[in-house]
Amino acid sequence: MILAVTGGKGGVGKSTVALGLGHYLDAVLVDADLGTANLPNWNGPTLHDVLAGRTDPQDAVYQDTGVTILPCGRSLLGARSSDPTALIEVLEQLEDQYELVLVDCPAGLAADVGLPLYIADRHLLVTTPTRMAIPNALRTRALGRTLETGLQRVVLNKVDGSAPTEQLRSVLGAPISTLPSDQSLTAPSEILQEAGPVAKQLQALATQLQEELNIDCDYRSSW
Amino acid sequence: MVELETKWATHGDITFISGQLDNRTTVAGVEAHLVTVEPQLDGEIWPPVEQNMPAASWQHGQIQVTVPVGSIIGIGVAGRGKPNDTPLKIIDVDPTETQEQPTTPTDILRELGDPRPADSAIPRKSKQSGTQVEQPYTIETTTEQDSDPTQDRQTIRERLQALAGR
Repeated sequence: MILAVTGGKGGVGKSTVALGLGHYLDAVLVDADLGTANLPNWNGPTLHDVLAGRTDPQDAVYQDTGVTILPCGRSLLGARSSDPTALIEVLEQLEDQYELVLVDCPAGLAADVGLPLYIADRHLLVTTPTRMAIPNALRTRALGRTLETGLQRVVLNKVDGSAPTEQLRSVLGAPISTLPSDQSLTAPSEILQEAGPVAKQLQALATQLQEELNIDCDYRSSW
Repeated sequence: MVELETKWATHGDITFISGQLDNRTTVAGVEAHLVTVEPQLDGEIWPPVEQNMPAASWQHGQIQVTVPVGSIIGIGVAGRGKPNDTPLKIIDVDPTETQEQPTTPTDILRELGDPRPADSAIPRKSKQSGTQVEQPYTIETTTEQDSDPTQDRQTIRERLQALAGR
């Protein structure tokens, strides 16, 4: 199964959610943000190399603190040298090897979001309860509908106190999962060292997704 | 019967050619015509582009479009050199069906835009440094169809265009 983690607006927590779920669901996590990747990286081949045909997807997958990642390169030349359409075949190959492929999508509505949505079975829409983020979430949901990829859940991130979850559920048309605000988290990779409320809620979300999507994986109860 | 009306304008040695394929004459039992048009310029011809990629209608130096009966479709190319008396020439007209085509990844790229940084944004090392610089990947723009017949290319393309216009 291929599950795309989408969002529309940058900074809403897509990568943090994807990284946490990648760990808890024992998935392979693909950083598909060709231009502004921010998941953990390594010195080996990256998605840029895979999309340029220089290496096979499995050779670019590595383990990082409990997460299996296909990282993305950081260079402009690497991004420019990639063939974005090759992502379709790459994700299909990974799906053959892994039970679950999570795709951390970039912000925006360009083809680097459209292509993962095109091949994904479902998508998980991450947003914050703000006036800036919700319209982008709606546009991403519309893109998913256009490409006939169902919205599994909305992850309402950085919730301070109460949030209009019922209203958002009605507007976005999918179940809402909330994650609390945690000012101490400043980068996605920090969730890997975190054992606080965000990690607990992500764990609960992973359990829900595992049941809803009937994912057969070695569930990880802790880091 | 498909009629072609052509206009062109020249600026320096560049010629812009536009045409209208008029298929408003009803033909019994025919839904659409597949029309092949060839630009006639004595210099280099640049294809029509969608999101910086050659349009899906551009096939080996010719424009190939399906024109439903009862409709008019616009086409256009540009190039160097002077046009002759018929800068766009209909090469072939075949009855066809307005069948739905599956969506391909290239369709998505055309409709939503290439997400890669522009070529001009890539720093290049000088020739004096002697370092070989990798050449950016060129996306193939073949029109092979994806194997999933359940997808509806025309409908999805139209909807993507509507989304992009928001």
